Amino acid sequence: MASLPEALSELIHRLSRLPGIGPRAAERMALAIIDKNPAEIAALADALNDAVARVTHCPHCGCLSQDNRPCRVCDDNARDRSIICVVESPLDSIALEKGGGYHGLYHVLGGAISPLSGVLPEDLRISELLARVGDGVVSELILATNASPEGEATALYIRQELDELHERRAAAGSSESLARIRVTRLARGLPSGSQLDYTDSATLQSALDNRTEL
Amino acid sequence: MHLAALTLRDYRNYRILELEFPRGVIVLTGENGAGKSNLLEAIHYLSYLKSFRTSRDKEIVRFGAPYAVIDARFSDEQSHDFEVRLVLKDGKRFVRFNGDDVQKFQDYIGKLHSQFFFPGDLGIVTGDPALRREVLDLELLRLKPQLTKVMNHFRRAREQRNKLLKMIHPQPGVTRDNRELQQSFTAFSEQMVQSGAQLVRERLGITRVLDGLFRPLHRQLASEAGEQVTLDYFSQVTLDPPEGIAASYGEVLAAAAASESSLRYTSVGPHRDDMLFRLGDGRDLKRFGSQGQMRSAALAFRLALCELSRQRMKDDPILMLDDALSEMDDGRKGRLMELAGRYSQVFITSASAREVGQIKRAAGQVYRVANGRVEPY
Repeated sequence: MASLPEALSELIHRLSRLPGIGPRAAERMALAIIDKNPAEIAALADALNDAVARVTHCPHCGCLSQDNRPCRVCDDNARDRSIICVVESPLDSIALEKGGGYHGLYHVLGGAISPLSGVLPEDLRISELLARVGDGVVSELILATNASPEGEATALYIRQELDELHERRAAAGSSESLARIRVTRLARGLPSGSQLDYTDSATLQSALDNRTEL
Repeated sequence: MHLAALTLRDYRNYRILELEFPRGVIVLTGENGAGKSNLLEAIHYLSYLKSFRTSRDKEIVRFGAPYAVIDARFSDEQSHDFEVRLVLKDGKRFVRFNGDDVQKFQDYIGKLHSQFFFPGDLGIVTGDPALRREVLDLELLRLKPQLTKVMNHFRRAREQRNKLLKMIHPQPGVTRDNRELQQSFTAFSEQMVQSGAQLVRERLGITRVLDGLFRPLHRQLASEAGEQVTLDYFSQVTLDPPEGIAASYGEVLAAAAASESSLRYTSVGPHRDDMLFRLGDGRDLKRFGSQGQMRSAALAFRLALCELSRQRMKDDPILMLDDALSEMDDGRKGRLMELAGRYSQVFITSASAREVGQIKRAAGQVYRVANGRVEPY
């Protein structure tokens, strides 16, 4: 991009490093930015800096929050504190919130176990989860990790850890909170609007296993 | 499926070749080395993105030319047209399907179904088990494209498990005491077992279907009277009953733990299974069969794959028989021609004028291949 002013090509270069933005889109964005009035661009720059400086992770659940405060979900007294939905990333909790049907709390793991990518259980917020679960309030854990091999294995891993935690507590004779916590996995089944004969056998089988009363 | 038009540019011995083909039996005749098989190779390449002769794409580009191009138009039983362009350049392949660049070859392979046979092609019987697994998986994906998810799940879980095996056993036979790694290993093993068991069940199912198609075809084509060959899925995992496959897989894995601690990779599962051709008494054809027996089995298997596609997907593959008649007696030649005549399109090459005379009646079109040109005979 020899013909462009250096400052502009630098802007294009920076923009194109963002996910979902190719070189063409970056060019158009950059040209649109320099065409806007200065006040608007100053506001954009402020918003960028502000977001980076102030958006943090909720100290309880790991969801996105601001200024190290608890996130909106954790802060909301109307939420059911006895249920925790465990997800891989903050985006997953946002997706679930959009559904609007869940009223419990979240716990963000920060990924899934993947030895090939160098992610081991110690790199995830699993011990934090176990600490939360041990507080006596939580009665159900929904493991909503992805249906990928990594997500499934992570769910299994947490299940094993909970069983061990339960056994250790039982062995130590501590009786408080030891109604065994219910651990569930999101149901896998037919997507709405789908046809049976086009569905693979695994999905059909899990749809059958998880069938519901009409 | 049939090939309606084919254009080759700088492909093998063809500088430029433009042909249109009818449905039915098409005979290509000409001297050995005239380029008959090159035509079939191009069709095979369009189907599978690889040659049946060479793994080196460079050999396919006409000597001195920068790249080779294959353009083809196919038509399925419902008269849907498909256009494919394949460019081979500097050892790379570029594929265009109906005007769109194909990014993942995996999504493309299998769209244009063809089956190819030549007498030396005993590979399906005698070759590496990976070859037979690949054929079974390809057929499964044709029947149930969604199985690609299961296959990927299994492969990925196995790769993660292998990585963990290497982390837990930094040296063969050495075991690190790390609870987190052990628990992760258990979790990924379970993932591998569940998806692996599903893959085994599907492979077992398709092997049984193919066996049912294969047996009568084999009876008709086998040269030696009375010999019987069957297809049998082979696994270290107990296959009966199918519901017990996952449990058995888990047990076999547990029993292999000691050997895996020194191997440091997953030694049991569908990635190690095989499909065997068994003689009537249960012996393995590739070890105890004659060349003739293996040849009949390989041909009958190719035809069984054609039948599978014809019956289950209502789409005939393009059948290519390269010099397949030359070593058959007249009775078997007749039977093969009868079977082949049922498919939408069959390409048969032959260097023998006598043979062409024999099959001419069944052929829709005979072409003469010579000096890089292909002309109606």
